[in-house]
Amino acid sequence: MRRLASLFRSGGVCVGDRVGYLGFNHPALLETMFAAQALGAIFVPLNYRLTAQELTFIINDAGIHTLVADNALQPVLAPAIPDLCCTHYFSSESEAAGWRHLDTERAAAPQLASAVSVDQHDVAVIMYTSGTTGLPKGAMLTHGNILWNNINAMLAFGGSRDQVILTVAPLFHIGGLNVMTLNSFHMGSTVVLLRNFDPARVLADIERYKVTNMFGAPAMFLFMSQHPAFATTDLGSIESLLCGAAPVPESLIVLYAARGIAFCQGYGLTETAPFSSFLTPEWTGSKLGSAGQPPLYSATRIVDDNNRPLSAGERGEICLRGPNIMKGYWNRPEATAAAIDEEGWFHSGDVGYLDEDGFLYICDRLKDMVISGGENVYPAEVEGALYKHESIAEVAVIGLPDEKWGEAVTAVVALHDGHQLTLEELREFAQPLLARYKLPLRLHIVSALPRNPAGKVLKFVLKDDLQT
Amino acid sequence: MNRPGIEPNLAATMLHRAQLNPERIALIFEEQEIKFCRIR
Repeated sequence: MRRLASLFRSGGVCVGDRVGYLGFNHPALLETMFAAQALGAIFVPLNYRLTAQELTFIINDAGIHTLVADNALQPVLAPAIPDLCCTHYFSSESEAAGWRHLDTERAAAPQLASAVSVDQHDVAVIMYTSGTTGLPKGAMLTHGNILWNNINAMLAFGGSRDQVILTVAPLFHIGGLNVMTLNSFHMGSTVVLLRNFDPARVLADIERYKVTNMFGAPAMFLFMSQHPAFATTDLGSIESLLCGAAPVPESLIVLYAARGIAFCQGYGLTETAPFSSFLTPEWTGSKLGSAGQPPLYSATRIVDDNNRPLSAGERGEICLRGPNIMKGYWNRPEATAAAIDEEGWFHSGDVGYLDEDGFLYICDRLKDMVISGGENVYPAEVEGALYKHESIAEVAVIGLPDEKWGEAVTAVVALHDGHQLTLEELREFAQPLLARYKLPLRLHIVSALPRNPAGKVLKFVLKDDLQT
Repeated sequence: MNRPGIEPNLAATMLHRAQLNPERIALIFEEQEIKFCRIR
């Protein structure tokens, strides 16, 4: 870490500069993050599923000074490089033409004497999250946000240096990075890091390394359970599995319970670093369907449209406050002001209620957001891309229940007179514009979208119609 | 009042952890075991 920090410093990285990483899970991502932070710089992990166009926006929005990318992702970025603002480009694995080689130059660099001293309110990570307006926003997470998140998690779940954590969720996500991975480094336990998700490999590594804890989206645990090796893999070392990104289906809880494995569930957002509630195993049965209780050093309340707190059982917007709440959105003061009110409550946009015991129940995910395979898909962004198709007169994107992905991105389209469109044609059209997981899995053609008198599309009508 | 100056920098925390547990394995990646001391 000290040599890498020194290398970045010699390239001009200073306090507050941004250092990005684009690649699959790899130790180099963590090394790049710590090295940047040692200089007081800000780490920006990039989603490797994005297109060159999407990455260009984020890299330039963040003003990334130094970018590290693995070999697999360099071709994705190559066409965009002339349009990027970065000063230095490093290849994190093998040598590559046009890229400086990280390992070679690091080995020759002197060691940085010590990490720069920071304030807990200084930004450590900017993590981009797609917005409902279609443009991604960078959530600024401070050193203090991450520290307090880890304290909250340890107080909720416990933890020890003997734990072995398996991380397979992508580290560019808050779930992969800060649910268990950084927590493990704090604790001094061991992380088994996998480059990407392969159910057979996950099962084999659980048995081989006697993994005690793992975080994942429900779809990951489903795919593991469907693999032929599931029945014969020794899962006896598992203390608990932690699930986030979407509610765990009861069938999955039962399936793993039969192997003596309990699920912990959590609710959180990138902006909350992420833990905002925990459902620990002792409550999994009696509070089925709940997202759990707030962490010790964090608070939750439900408010109405006028920001007035609601009573137990009443549905409203979930608001969160605590030392884990982000500093704001990078260069978006208006968006920050809209998200964090004067009392410091972060407005999640999710709808839910608290029961008499203070357990949180989530009714609707961020307005109309679709969660497919654990990935958040924002309809406004997908609709913006699909509207560019010449045959489409109007389009609404919704999520419909899907056994495999949790929700399927579904495009409901009204066509211009005389036009025709197939799902394959639509996906092919949208492929250069959108990451693969955002592409519609289903297409429904209608004569016109249902709208209210103000012209707003009534998505709940579409959902009801298409589910029946 | 005594206000202890805890350094919140995550990188500094990692360096401190590496001093406390140099021989423990911090990370296993594709058969490679990386000890905390290597993180320094």
